Amino acid sequence: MNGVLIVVAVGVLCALYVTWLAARLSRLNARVKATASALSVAANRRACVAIELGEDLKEESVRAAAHAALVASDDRQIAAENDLTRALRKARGHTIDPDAWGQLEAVNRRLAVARQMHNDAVRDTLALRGARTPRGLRLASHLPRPQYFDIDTDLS
Amino acid sequence: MRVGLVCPYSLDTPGGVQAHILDLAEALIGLGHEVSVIAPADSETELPAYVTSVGRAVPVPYNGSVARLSFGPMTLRRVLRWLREGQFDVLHVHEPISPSVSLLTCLVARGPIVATFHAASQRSRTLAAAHGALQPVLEKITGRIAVSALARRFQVEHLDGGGVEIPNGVAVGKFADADPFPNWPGSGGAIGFLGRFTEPRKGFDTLLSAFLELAPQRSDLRLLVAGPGDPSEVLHRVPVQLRERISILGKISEADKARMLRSVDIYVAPNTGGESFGIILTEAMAAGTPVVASDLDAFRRVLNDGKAGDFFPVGDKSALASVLAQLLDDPARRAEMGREGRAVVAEYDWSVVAARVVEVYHSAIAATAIRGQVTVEEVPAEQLDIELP
Repeated sequence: MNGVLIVVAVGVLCALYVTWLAARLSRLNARVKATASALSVAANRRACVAIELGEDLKEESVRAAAHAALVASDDRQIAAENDLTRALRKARGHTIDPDAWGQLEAVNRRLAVARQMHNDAVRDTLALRGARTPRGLRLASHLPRPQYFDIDTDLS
Repeated sequence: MRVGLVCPYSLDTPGGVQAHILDLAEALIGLGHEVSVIAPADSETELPAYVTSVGRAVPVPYNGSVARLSFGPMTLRRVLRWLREGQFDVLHVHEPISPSVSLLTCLVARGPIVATFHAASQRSRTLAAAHGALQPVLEKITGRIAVSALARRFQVEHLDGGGVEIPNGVAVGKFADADPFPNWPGSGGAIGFLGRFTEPRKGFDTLLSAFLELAPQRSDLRLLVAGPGDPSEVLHRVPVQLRERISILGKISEADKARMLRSVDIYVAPNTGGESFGIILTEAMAAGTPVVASDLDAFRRVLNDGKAGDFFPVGDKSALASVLAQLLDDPARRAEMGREGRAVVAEYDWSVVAARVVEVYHSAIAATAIRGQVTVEEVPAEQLDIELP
């Protein structure tokens, strides 16, 4: 009799544990989606400010790189953002208007923070997906695998 | 914006993290935000209007020292009420892995959560060892802030994950306008030191030796020391006739710290290492006091690569003595260093630093799926009715 009770209790605890893991995975999935969309907004904002800056400065390389970043397809996105960072770094010395450059630095900082938050979320998600139980039970199989977004945002 | 700040350590005792949080709160209020701080505190401790207490912290012997922590059903209830009534747009938790209010808040809150990791102390290292168990808490944090490159490295190595580096702020005005103690610094020169003078890492021995080398030739040179510790441990090494030229103030308040820094001609930071940021240097600069520091990377960075201070090789007492002698004889250079220090420290002023923190708040809000305010996880009602015995 006692044996049956123990088996039932262990079964209930296991079910609760698995439910809890599944809830964490789905919350992490939501977190990754949210950070990804915030990241894409931040990247677009930087590209827009850079286009204006490129036009003001008559820096065709900046304008072109910013435009490319704005329209890049998903698989080209990281490379395009890195190109834009490089173009901005080159143009850095040529700026006359400190206000315009300050505005660009501000949106660039926001982009760096958004990237950090996204990569944190991806790392947390991958850590839990890779843990023994979630992997063994394929708890995350219905969720998309998150991707890191590793771009260079260093302007100096 | 409505900001909820969570402080894990008791406000009954002064400390770096507590001071950081209260200064940040005031700077945020100064920028026009609504701020509420929750922290452990005794009912007798006088608290600013924006602080909510979770009650008295219980001293727990822990890892070789005593941590004053707050944890339990009573604390949980107060945290939940504070979250519900606060309707915060963003929650800013400090030292989230210390087993106290911060951890508890992370567990029960939902929404944009920003976390600041402070020192990379031995204690947090022990906790980080349990980081697998803490993962569910860390998972809820949207954005991380590290107060220094060292704190950031600690996070990368022990907690997987980086964080935005935003330096500690300094309330520049409080230091710049403080009145020196009566009769200080005096005409014969005064040297200052602040910190645990009995802790070898702080390097007070180096300074004391340098002072003992200089004192016989300079009859009015004095040493002003503040910080916790037993003065007799220091004074027994000092010849009797020099003892009255060393003033040891003991542990002092924030306000007296500002006065103390204004009371000396030179501030010395003889640390032997392990300093993550050197906030005391920025405070000395804010007071307009020239700094002489051991040649550590962190100090070099803060002192603008030597423009705002002089260096000596770590632990080298005769080098320190000669740097001090030169500076004591050169008031023009001291004034120049004071001016340079004020210029450097402007970028550490809380108003500037708090604006950067607000940027992170905005990013955290943008990066959170749940729109609207910070809410509370579903907690079964019966759990809230547990009373402490």
